[in-house]
Amino acid sequence: MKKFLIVAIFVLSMSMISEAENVRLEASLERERVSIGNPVYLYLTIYGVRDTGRLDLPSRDGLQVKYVGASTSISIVNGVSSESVTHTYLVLALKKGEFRIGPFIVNYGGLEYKADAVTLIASDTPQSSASPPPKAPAQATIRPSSGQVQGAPGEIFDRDKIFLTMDIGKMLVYINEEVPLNIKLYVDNLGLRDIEYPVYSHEGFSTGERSEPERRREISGGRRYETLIFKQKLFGIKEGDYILGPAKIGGKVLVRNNSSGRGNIFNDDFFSSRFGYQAFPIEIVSDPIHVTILPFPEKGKPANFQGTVGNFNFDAYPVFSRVKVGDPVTLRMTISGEGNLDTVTAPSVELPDTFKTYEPQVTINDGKKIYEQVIIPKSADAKEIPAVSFSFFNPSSKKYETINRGPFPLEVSKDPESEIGARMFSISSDGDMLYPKEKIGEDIVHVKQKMGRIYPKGKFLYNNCLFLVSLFIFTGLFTAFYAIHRKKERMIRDKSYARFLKAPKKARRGIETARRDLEKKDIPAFYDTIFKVFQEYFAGKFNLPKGNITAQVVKDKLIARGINEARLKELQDIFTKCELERYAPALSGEKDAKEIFEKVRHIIDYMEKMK
Amino acid sequence: MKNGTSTRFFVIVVFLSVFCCFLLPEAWAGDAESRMELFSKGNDYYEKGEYENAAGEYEKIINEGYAGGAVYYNLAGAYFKEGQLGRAILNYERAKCFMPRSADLDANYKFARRKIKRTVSPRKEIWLLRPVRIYSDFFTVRELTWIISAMYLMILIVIAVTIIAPALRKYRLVPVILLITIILFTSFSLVVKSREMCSSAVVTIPETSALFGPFDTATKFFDLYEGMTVKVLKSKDDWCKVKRVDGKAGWVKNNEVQLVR
Repeated sequence: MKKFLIVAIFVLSMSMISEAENVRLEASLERERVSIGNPVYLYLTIYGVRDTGRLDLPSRDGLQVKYVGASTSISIVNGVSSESVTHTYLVLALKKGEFRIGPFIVNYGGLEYKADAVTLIASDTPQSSASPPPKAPAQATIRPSSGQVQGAPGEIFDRDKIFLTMDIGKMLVYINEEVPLNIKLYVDNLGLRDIEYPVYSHEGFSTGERSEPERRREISGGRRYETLIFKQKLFGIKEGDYILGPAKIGGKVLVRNNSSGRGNIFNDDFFSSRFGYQAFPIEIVSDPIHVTILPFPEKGKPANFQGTVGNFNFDAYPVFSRVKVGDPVTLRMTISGEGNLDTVTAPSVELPDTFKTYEPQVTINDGKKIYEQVIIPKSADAKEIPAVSFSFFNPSSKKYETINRGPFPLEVSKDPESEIGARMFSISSDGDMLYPKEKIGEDIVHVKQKMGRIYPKGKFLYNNCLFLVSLFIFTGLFTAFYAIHRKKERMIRDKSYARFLKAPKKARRGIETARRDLEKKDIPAFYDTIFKVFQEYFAGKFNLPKGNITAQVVKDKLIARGINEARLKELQDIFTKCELERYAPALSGEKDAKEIFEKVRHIIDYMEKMK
Repeated sequence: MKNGTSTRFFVIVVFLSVFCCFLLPEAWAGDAESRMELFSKGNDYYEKGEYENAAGEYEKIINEGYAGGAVYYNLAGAYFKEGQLGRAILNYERAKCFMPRSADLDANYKFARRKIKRTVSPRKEIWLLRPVRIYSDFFTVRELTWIISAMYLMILIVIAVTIIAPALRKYRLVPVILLITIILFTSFSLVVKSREMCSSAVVTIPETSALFGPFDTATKFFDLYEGMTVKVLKSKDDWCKVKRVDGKAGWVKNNEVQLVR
């Protein structure tokens, strides 16, 4: 609770301080010059308050003052609300002369607020009753959002009641020239709120920063307007004829529901709808402006002109004028004045070879552009910094102007090394001989005597075919090595796989033995070998013990694998023949044996292809 | 010996690798005798103080389509003595591509750079790229390529050894990851170096201005002096867009700068 109270007190006090900071008093006259007998309005406006008592202004000799009344104004621009109370007085000069009215002091919230005195000059010559009215734009329109307004607002607000003007200082501008643009909203006795910043097309121009809108009172065409002025700077960027605008401002106008009430100017009220007001969105459009952007004249253009436009002053000076060789000297160049500082470039400094320079550092401060150029004298021969020049185009005089500063004398002393050189062979306090510091010469190292390895120009190893192919070969060899190793490992691990792989080799060896038996005409031995070949081959292929291999077993296995029937028959014939010859030899001759031999070879080949 | 064939195969692969490493450079070198004569002649001219003739002899070697560190180094020296600072720095830059660790070259290059009329402070480099730059500046493109290849072969060898000796298999992950890291880092350095070589250029005329656009009437942006190193970003007709070491970019004519590569 205690904490809450502290916070509440703090917030309250801060809001009071903030409020007090925003309160100010302004006094203005409708006109400063009047003829005797013509009344003029005096406005005393207290900003930042909604309610305050009036200030009594007594009449005096030759001047009558009469209080007319007070009006309160509340407005919101882009979400920021402001309020003020205006006390209006009618002032009548009864004799010729200069009348000083004020200063004015108002007490509010225990504080005094002061406004400067205003001066009224009364003469016996008749004065025009009002300043010439600004030309109301022909296309100025008020556009309520469709479907939201009952009873057309266009019937309520004529174009003299609210309109927008757009005004540029010059119709003919030069590239990079800074021109002010004022967009002014005139409102006569209407409540407005949520007024947005104006938008407009500005082809051919770049825009500067927008300043806070200003609020004024103006009499125009016999009507008293509240005006809101939006100011912005423009810069021409490309030569040609352009149309600026039209400017458009959006906002909400407050209208009494019975259409009979008279609201105050900008009398925004958050709760207006609850008190009989209704807000209608509107868009106010100004006339466009034709502007011509001119190119720079060629006549008299200085060689160092870089596109700077305005009316500038230029000053330059070296920060130090006594330095040693190798010490930096800062040349400070300041450009100030009216114009577009963004277009200001570094003044040209043409330095001889006795100096070394660096890129200048630039700062913009308080409407001044300051360049700091570091210059290093390389020898004691550098006696002065040459003159620096700055050129710009002055749009007022329509002429180029060049300001020269300098030359700046310099006192460059020799470096400490040469000073030591002057004290050759002097005796130190210790009695030791002081030798001059050795002077080290500087030059490039001598050329190479050996040419070393040379290469074809522009060719790199990484895109050399031979190199890439060799890498590819190594990769291939590694892959082959890996595959062989894997196969060997499997043969060690998997006995059936090893028998399967070894079977054809053993078969070929057996066929070779059988061929020799046949050559020796040893028919029983031949059939015996052939039978063994078959036994070992099929035992390896089917991973069976040798003793289990019979014609029937082989037939069953091969049928399951889809063997050709003719081959199966051949195989059975061979088995039968071998059985017969082994147990009843000399039944067949050499011719039959050769036939069997060929059949065995075909069967083995066929089986190898089959896998 | 169960693994006898594998071991023999492995030894052959390693032997072939080493053999090719020594054989390959020789395949490129070509017949250097005539170029050696030109080189010696250039050196003779240089020692007599006839720098223009010396530069001519060195240029002949380059015009024949060959390049080497010493050739560019001596050519740069001849140009420097002749007073052509831009060409001298250009050829020192080229020589650095072949002999990046040469102390003589480094001294000459720095000395030549001190003669540039104006110095511009370089823009700060991204800290992450600094190790890459140091690494890539230390080696030539050729050496970086060899490092990548050697690391690749090392990976194959490590895997092969662990295949032959399964007991070592548990130790192979660390060296393989290390080698892969070296390959990736070196490859990145190689790419960075190659790109820089392709885009680096040197101003070869005494002084020029970089403009905002590729046309004669464009507004001047900044100055360039003979010997300044720039990066060529793009080109259009007779113009190219160059970036100075401080990050400023502008258009200059093609004949005002020369590419290092």
